Amino acid sequence: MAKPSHAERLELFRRMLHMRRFEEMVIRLAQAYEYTGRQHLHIGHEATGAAVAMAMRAGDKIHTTHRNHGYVIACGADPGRAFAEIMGRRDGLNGGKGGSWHLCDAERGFQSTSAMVGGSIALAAGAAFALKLAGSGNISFAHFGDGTLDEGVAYESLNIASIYELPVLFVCENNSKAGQRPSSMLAAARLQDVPAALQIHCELVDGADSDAAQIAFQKAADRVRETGKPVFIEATLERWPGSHQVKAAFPTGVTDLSLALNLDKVEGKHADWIKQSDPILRATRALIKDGVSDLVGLLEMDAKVNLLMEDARSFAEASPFPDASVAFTGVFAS
Amino acid sequence: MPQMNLAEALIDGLIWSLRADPRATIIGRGIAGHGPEHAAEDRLKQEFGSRIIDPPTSEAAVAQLGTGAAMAGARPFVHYGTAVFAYEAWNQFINEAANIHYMSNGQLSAPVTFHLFHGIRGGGGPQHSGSPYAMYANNPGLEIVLPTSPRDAKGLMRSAMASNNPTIVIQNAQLLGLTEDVPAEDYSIPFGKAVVKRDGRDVSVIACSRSVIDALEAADILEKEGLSVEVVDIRTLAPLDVDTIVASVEKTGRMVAVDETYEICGVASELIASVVTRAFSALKTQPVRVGRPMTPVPFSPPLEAAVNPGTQKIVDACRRACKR
Amino acid sequence: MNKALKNAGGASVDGRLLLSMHRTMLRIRHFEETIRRLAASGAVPGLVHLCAGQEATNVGIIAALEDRDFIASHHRGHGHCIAKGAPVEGLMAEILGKASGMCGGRSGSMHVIDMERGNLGTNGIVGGGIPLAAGAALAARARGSDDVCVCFFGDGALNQGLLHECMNMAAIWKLAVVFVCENNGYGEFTAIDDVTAGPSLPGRGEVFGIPSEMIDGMDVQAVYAAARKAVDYARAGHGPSFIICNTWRFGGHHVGDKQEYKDDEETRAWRLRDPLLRSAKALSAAGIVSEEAIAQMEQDAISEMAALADGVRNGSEPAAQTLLEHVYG
Ligand SMILES: Cc1ncc(C[n+]2csc(CCOP(=O)(O)OP(=O)(O)O)c2C)c(N)n1
Ligand SMILES: Cc1ncc(C[n+]2csc(CCOP(=O)(O)OP(=O)(O)O)c2C)c(N)n1
Ligand SMILES: [Mg+2]
Ligand SMILES: [Mg+2]
Repeated sequence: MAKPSHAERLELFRRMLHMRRFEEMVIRLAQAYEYTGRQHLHIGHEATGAAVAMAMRAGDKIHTTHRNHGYVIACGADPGRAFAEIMGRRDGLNGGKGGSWHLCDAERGFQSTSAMVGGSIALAAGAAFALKLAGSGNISFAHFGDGTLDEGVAYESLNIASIYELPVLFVCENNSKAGQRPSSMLAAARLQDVPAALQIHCELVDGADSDAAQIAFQKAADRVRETGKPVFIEATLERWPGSHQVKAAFPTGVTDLSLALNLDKVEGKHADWIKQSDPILRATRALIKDGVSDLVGLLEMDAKVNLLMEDARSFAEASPFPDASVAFTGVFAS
Repeated sequence: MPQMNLAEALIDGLIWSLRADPRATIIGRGIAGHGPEHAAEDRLKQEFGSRIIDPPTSEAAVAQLGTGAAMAGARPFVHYGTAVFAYEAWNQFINEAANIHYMSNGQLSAPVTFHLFHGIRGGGGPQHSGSPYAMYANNPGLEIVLPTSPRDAKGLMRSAMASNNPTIVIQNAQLLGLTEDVPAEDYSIPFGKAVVKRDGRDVSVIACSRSVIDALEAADILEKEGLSVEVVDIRTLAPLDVDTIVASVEKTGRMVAVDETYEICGVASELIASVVTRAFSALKTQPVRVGRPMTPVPFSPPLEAAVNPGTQKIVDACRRACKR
Repeated sequence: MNKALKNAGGASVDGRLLLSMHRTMLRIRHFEETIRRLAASGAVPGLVHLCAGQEATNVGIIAALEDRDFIASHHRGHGHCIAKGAPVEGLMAEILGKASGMCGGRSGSMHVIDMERGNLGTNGIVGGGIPLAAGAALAARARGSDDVCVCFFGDGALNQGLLHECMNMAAIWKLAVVFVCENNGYGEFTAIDDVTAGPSLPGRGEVFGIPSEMIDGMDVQAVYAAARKAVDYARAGHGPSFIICNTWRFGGHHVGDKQEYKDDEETRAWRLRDPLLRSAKALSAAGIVSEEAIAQMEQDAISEMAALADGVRNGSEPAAQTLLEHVYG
């Protein structure tokens, strides 16, 4: 596949910035409202999430996990309604009934988020089954972490997707890291060995490399559309130091694009992550180096995104909590 | 009007559903069981073979396959055979299918039908005799349907397949051979409508599934003793038609609640609670509960019979309620 | 068609061992035949799954175990019970739901538990025995023992998520488990190829770094040789192994199944590979015993089992008053 055009690369970056600034605002909101709780932020996964979203076509479906915020935003959901949902407000994407873990924007093909490890992979296989029956040519996407492959239901779903030739792209974000508490304990030497043993075509990509991810996911999605069979992509990622935070914080600071050209200035405990693993800074460097944009152009884009997120925050803050009576409605579909 | 057994009626309801809706699809085989009635399934295979798939023994993923497909616009019917196999899919039923409409604030729904055979069936032993519908009923978002006659089976199946919610059609495997006249044409029976199967004056037996058949038998026996027993079949446990139940108890003044699930936190308990909290003053005597005692279902026939809340226990309960 | 019917080649075992394995296989075959007759006459409540045809996998594996080792079995498990030393009269009585059954009639064919001999039980849930076996191996480790635990399961269980979860844990923790798939080509009425993805079945174990092999499950010597290797490996603390035994059930899924889904030619071909013919041939070819003695062994097995039937059938039923016993310990 040809390298993506400048416009496509910029669009990918724009989505990545939306994702990053959204998550940073989630941290600020958590600090302001002290609902620290457990936010599973998607920081560090932006290149993968944005590349997946760009490979989606109208009518495709995606199912995600607890680490879902980035995908909702990358798919084009209104960030104000997403903040409102995370804050449990009336105008949230789910009217306040779902919260961070269950963001849903069905109109954009963003199906439910399952907070059950192993939930999304099986639901996405089901979506692929329905799409195949409908014969629309659409495909389904399953986003999940390496932890999902510890679950038996993942293995069952991969087997089913393989024997029934379901058009599903399995997107495994592997951020498991030895040393820290790993998010999976799979005995397999490589995660892909599991789907490969079930005769599913597998690819490996550096999930923090926006160019590589953009090419890999586009190619994989094309392959699923052409063959009607599943493909499994493992995107390797270096876990962001704040990915399991209980108290809202910015362990790697607020993202500063200009650091991309001043990496030697970066120091501190997490300097390595910032220098080598932050997909936003990596993309910034690549775009400038390839002459797709200059730093000022990217900073300008960033400023717009920041403004958008501030407006979105105001929208969410202005939204009231839902009326308690709503708790009893919508249990059954009519 | 043709005669059909319950298995044939069920298949007929499914066939009409598949004719009516091209999105409907079948996951599973052995829908009419593996007993003498199994041949009923052949009609379905003949007309819709290409819309049936035979899945691996992967209950959890199969439940989720149905749920995910339903969320994406299909209308899957997922057959599990013996109900206990669906224990492997507990998370998928409860945490995914039942919640999705609510937690997406109505954006999505999961119109999937799960079909299960429950109950004491003769030699099933501790692992194959489970009746999980009381446990399912303890979760909002699931519709639970318990057909007890061929006519009902057909009409209720039709509603299940048309419903926009996850629906569990669960029936006692021993009822599959029951036979009666069933209208040949397409029809459906709405959920949440209990039916008075037999009119009576002295005591109301409120029952579901297999226990309805036992209760009717008990009513015949008691009639000879001069006791007039009313039998109400709730037909759907969720939604539950409390109005019809209360009306019956208000008429007779006495209540026996009977069901095959465990007595503790079981269906009979819920039926009594729903009457006591709404129409306590209508009761002339203490309501009587008949359910499975709190022991696993043993294999050996005499032990199995001892846990089954069958006809004799209902007869005794009616006598007690009427102070005979 | 059953996947890859490759013969592992002529492994040969010690003559005395082969003789004793042959005898156990004969006892299983005729035990099952007796149960089949009892079931056909209505004496067995519920459904019963017979293992005739699969004796070599039952016996060859268990022969590699010590008495103290554990097994976990499945719904087609009478042979495992017998090979692990269960009293056949008590087993038959259990299958008929009698008071004198090994579990007092509470469990029936599908839940026979025999802790005295390290048998964690037959199991009514496809894949149900797998985690029990992994747990038993973990417990053995905790006691500081090198007991090994074998779990038997059918090809139908290959697609249960539990197998994947347990293989993973056994591999990570190097548990002394031997995973034994008795691949008889069908799960109920479904052919394995219709529901089982992947280029190779051993590949499903190899993914976890588990030594895995597929063998001829109709050849008791080959089964024993594979088991010997796997059991020694586990006992030495190296962790799990995975053995796929290709075999065939001569009867239906349960007594009464007419097997219309099977191909007659295929069935005939498998019939000729009868594990009992095979071991009888090996015994006589090696001159270990005379043909007369082999025939006599078979007669002994027939009369042993047939002699039990009437007594067990007329045995007393459990009393309903015992119903609530053992609900809690
Ligand atoms: C069924 C289930 N078990 C456990 C959990 C708790 N849990 C939440 S996140 C998580 C780790 C998931 O790891 P991974 O899938 O790799 O995603 P990551 O957080 O690393 O992105 C666990 C175990 C859960 N949500 N669901
Ligand atoms: C969890 C579960 N699902 C379904 C069943 C129904 N069932 C009983 S035996 C069987 C097939 C098992 O096939 P296999 O494992 O190959 O063993 P075989 O009968 O061939 O020996 C099935 C699906 C069950 N007992 N448990
Ligand atoms: Mg992870
Ligand atoms: Mg099998």
